[in-house]
Amino acid sequence: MKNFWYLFAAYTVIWAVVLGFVLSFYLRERALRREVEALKELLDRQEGHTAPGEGDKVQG
Amino acid sequence: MVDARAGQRPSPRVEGRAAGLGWGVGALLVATAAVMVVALYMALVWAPPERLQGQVYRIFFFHVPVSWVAYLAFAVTFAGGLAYLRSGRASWDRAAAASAEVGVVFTTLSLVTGSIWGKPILNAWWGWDVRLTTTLVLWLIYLGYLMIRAYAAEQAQGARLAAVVGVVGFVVVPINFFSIRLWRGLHPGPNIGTEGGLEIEGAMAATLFVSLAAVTLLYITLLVARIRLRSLTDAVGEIKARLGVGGIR
Repeated sequence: MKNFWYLFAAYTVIWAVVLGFVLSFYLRERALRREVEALKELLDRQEGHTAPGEGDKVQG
Repeated sequence: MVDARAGQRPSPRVEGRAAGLGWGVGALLVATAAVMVVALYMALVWAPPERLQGQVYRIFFFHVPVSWVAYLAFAVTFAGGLAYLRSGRASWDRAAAASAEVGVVFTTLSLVTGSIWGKPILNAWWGWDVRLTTTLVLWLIYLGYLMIRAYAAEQAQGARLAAVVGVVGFVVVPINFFSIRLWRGLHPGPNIGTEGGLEIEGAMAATLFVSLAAVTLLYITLLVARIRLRSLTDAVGEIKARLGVGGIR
């Protein structure tokens, strides 16, 4: 097919860029979720260290 | 002390909103994938070859929609930027910035696919005609918008400066749109019903319409996903700042 490679290249670029963009979202969200977990652990440690028993009050 | 720390946790409202947007992104992703499959089938198989260009004209079915939807993205950045400058509400800024990011990606696709299409048809990868040049200028303006946000010393200051760039930079969009109607250059003229454009018949117009729907859905999906990510990043940044951990934007 005449000029097939140009057609192939154009559609390849489109999908490579879109998938790369979506993948970047996924990776950023995964990093963010890890950070949230680390922050929760930090908060739990701080609460447990400075105010024992307060966590139970909040839960209840 | 305990009350203050309780306020540092992500509020149920923030978490609920993020979860809701997550469901929304999932539903949009399924709808986008379904319409995209149909659009790809129509663009690559169903639509007939063009009389003069043969098969390579099929680039048109995505080159044109990504270019049009990039205008839409910058229009959202313009409106969001204006609303942010008036109200100072972070949600407007998040929407404007997310839309600018997607708009830059779509403009990149427009430039690259246009260049690939131009080589076999016009025997040139690039030419400094008004449409191509103003598209490049548009891309640079919104790339600048994103760089201002990324490198500003203070987040609020960066958001305000970027909003001004997003509002003022939007003036290039109508110049870019009307350029092929006002000036003759390397870029083909308007596609439908005008001399110098492609000869669009019924099946091609239907394919263009479905591709436009697919790319618009893709834009909405990426926009909602990016807003969600920005909301989460901002929430985590605020919590880290209050905890004194720092280092997050």
